[in-house]
Parts: sequence; C-alpha cells; structure tokens
Amino acid sequence: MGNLLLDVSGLDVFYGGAQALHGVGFKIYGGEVFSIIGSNGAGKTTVLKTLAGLIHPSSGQAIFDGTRIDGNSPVSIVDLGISLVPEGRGLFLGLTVKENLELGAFPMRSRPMASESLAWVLGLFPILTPLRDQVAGRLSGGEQQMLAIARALMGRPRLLMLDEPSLGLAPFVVKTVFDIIAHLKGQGVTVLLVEQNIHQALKIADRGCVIKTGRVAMTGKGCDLLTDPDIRKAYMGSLQ
Amino acid sequence: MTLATLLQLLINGVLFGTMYGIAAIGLSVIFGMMHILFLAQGTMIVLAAYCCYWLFELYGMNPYLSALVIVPAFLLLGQALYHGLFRRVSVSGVFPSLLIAFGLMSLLENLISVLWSPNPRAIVADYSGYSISLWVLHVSFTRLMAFGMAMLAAGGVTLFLKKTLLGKAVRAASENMEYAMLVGITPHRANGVAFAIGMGLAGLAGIATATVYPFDPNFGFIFSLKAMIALALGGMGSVMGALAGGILLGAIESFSSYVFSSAWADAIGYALFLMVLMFKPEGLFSPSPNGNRK
Repeated sequence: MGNLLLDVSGLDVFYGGAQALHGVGFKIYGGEVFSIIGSNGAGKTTVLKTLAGLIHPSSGQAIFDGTRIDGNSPVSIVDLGISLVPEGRGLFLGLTVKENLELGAFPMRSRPMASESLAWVLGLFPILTPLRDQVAGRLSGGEQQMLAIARALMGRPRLLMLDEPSLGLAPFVVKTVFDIIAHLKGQGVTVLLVEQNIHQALKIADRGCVIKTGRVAMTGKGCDLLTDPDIRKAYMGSLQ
Repeated sequence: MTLATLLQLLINGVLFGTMYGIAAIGLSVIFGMMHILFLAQGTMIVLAAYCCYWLFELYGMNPYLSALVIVPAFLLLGQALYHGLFRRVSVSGVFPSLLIAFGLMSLLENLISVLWSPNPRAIVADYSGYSISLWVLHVSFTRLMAFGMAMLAAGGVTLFLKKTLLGKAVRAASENMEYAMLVGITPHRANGVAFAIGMGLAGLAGIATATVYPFDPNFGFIFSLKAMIALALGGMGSVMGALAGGILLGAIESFSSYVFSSAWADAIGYALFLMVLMFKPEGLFSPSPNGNRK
C-alpha cells in the first residue's frame, strides 16, 4: 500500500432540505484503484462532485495529500491534481478532439507538459489519433468516453475520478474501458471509480466501499467485497 | 433600377453593414458566455467614437492610428467593467446583469450628453469626402476603411478563439461552464476575456463610426438594436455568422431606403428580425440545431 493520498471523513451533504450524504468517509492510498459501488441514487455521484468542488459539504472534511480541499473551488482542486470525468463525460461537443485534449492541460501545473502528455494519451488511446480534427459531438459513445478519460489524463492527475465510465456503452467497449483503467493502475495512476457495473468495478479494485442511501455500508478489499454474500445478494443477483 | 445603381446600393449596404457586424460580434461573444444581451454595446461604441473624435480634435491624432490607443484601452475597460460591475452578480442569474447593462447604457448616454453636449459630432479630415471611382461606382474611402477594420476584427477574434489556448477555453466555457471548471478554467476569467473582446470590438467600431458619419450620444441604443438584429440574422454564438448578419442587414437597409424611404428601412429591418426569430431562431447562417451535434 502506498502513502495516504485522500482522507475523507464525516461528509454531510444536503440538496436543499434533503440530506444526500450522511457522514461519508474513506481513505485512498497512492497507486490503488478504489471503487465506490451502490445502487442508483445512493449518493455515489454526490461523493465525486463534492470531492471535485462542485458541491460544498455542510460538514466533514476531505484532505488530499495534506491539503484540505472540501469547500474549495473546482478550479483550485483541479490545480492540485484531482481530475473528475463526470457522468455524461463532460466533453465540449462543439470543439475538436484535439482542442478537448489541449484544454485538459489547462491547469498551470500540467501546461508545461502538454505536448508530452498529448503523445502519452494518444499512445494510450490510439483510436483518437485519426479523430483528432473531428468535433467531439460526432464521436460514438465509446470514443467519447476514451476522449473524456484522455482529456482528464492530459491534466496529469494524481487522482483520477471516473463517474460511471461504462454507462451506456456496448459490452466490448466496457471491456476496453476497464482494460485502460487496469493499464493506468499499472502506470501508477491512483483511480477513484464509481460504477454500477459492480462485478467489474470490484474485480479491478484494490479496495472499495459500498454506499447505501448516503452512508458507507461496508469498506474492504475489492476481492473480499466481490465475494461477500450480502453484496452478491443485494447487487449482483442477475450475475449469479 | 440599373445594374450600376443596384451594385452601388449593394456596395453601400455591405460596407455599412460591416459596422453592425463588428458590434454584433461583440454582442455574440458576450452572449455566448454570460447569456445576456449587452445592451450598452452601442453606447460603448459611441464612447469610443467620442474618444476618437477628441483625440483627433485636441491632439490632431489620425483616427486610424488612434486605434492603437483606443482598442487596447477598451480591452482593459472590458476587463474592468466585468470585474467591477458584473462579476458579483454573474452568479445570481441573468437578470441582474441585464439590468446593469441597461443602467450602464443610460448612465453613459447621459454622462456623454452632459460632458460633451448632445450635439452631433463628426470627424472632418481631408480624406473624409474622398471616394474611389471604379467604372460607374463610387466607394467612399472611410467606408472602405471601416470595412477593412471589420474584416481584420472578425479575423482576429476568430484566430484568437480557434488558435490560442485562452480562446479555446473561452469557447469551452461558453459551451458548458461546469465542465470548463472541471478542466481548471475559472468562470470569472473566461467572462472577463469575453467582455474584453466585446469592448475591444466596440473600440474599433467606434473609430469606424466616427470616421464615417456624424454621431450623437443617443446613437448608441439604435446601434445596439441593429447589432441585435444582425445577431439574430446571423445566429447567436458564431463570429462569422454575426458579421454576415450585419452585412445582410446593411444591404437590406440600403435597398429598402432606396426603394421606399429610410424610415421604411428601419421598419423592414425590425420586421425581418421578428420573422427570423419566429421561423429560424437559430439564425440564417447556422446549420439547424440538431445538424451538427449528436
């Protein structure tokens, strides 16, 4: 296990009067893949949005490599090296593939490495090379997901957060996405993965947690969660 | 109507319309970013026209050379306006920004009237009446220069938006501000840049106006209206569309004031504005809304 990279504790988040997160906490260590699983509406996306600075928690804290980030602006959080690929991919559909990638290196800390990063991500995602001058809105769903991950990598994140990267993709594309996550892990990128595709998400994860109605119901190693009878019963009925 | 008249009207219209075009590009960039029609655009153009006029009258500065002073000053003014007036309210929705723009327009109009009198002014230089003759056509030198400035401005803004990282960031932010924040683009910075571009263009349009015809403090609102029509014709959010919309409006006005009268030309312009908004709200020159995106 690497050093402690992200320490989240006691996060409470409200949408108006409704409480979406109740004291959510977990730890992520450098170099690991951490999966948050749970059913639709459990609060997984809220956790990521809070960490990205799009939502401000009413209490609790998130400490990234010694710096407190909860309540900070999204821009300052990106500048620290946390990138979120949001649900729906967050691409600029009217801009070309290349322009989207260039903007991925907008943060000051990643800008000097922009051209090396571009070569690196095009190596990781060779399908993007011939599409460079295409408008992002014209890509297929799978290509858009690749572009979204590639753009986040252009920022040279120390923590890459992926929100439902397999959503709406054909099975063989889903496999590619998980292969890429495994590959990134091999390159030392720390990944926080939120998925409804629970089987895959736990298989690839070093550790993970289950979120149920805004609370962390269980935390553990990926393989332990995968074989946990309660989880199998609650979330993977269809896979048995 | 002879062919020569037809061509002459077309040339007059096109040259005149490019000024609407520059104003419309400014409106378009600001609209794309903040989703407000910056009503004070025309009045800022008039302010720039006065700057040009006074630099000429008091210091004998060549109006075209004064662009080197006025455009940078207006770029800075745009930044200052955004950060001073709009920054705080930009998070609380569109309406406060719209009201501020309206207030700014009224304030400037009255301030200019009080300071420099409401009388019309015009720059009269030795080349003001000069025109270039081509076959049976006459092209006024100052209008040709205005046309040239408009083309340079449109080209410059397009290059900035397409080729520089900051320009790409502005386009990204006007497409989706939340996604832009996720790649590290500060909304206030992008808004400030959009305002600077809008005001820089107003500076240039002011110079073109001052050299081409007489202007007075109340001229601004009409200019804003015309720019709005040009924007509706060309389609929101496209630089070349806004320019083309301006040129089209200029041509239509030129023809209708010849065939009917100049009062009719305005009425026809506004009627066209409503028709386009009713039947092709995305503008005449943009592809249909579901055509270029999934």
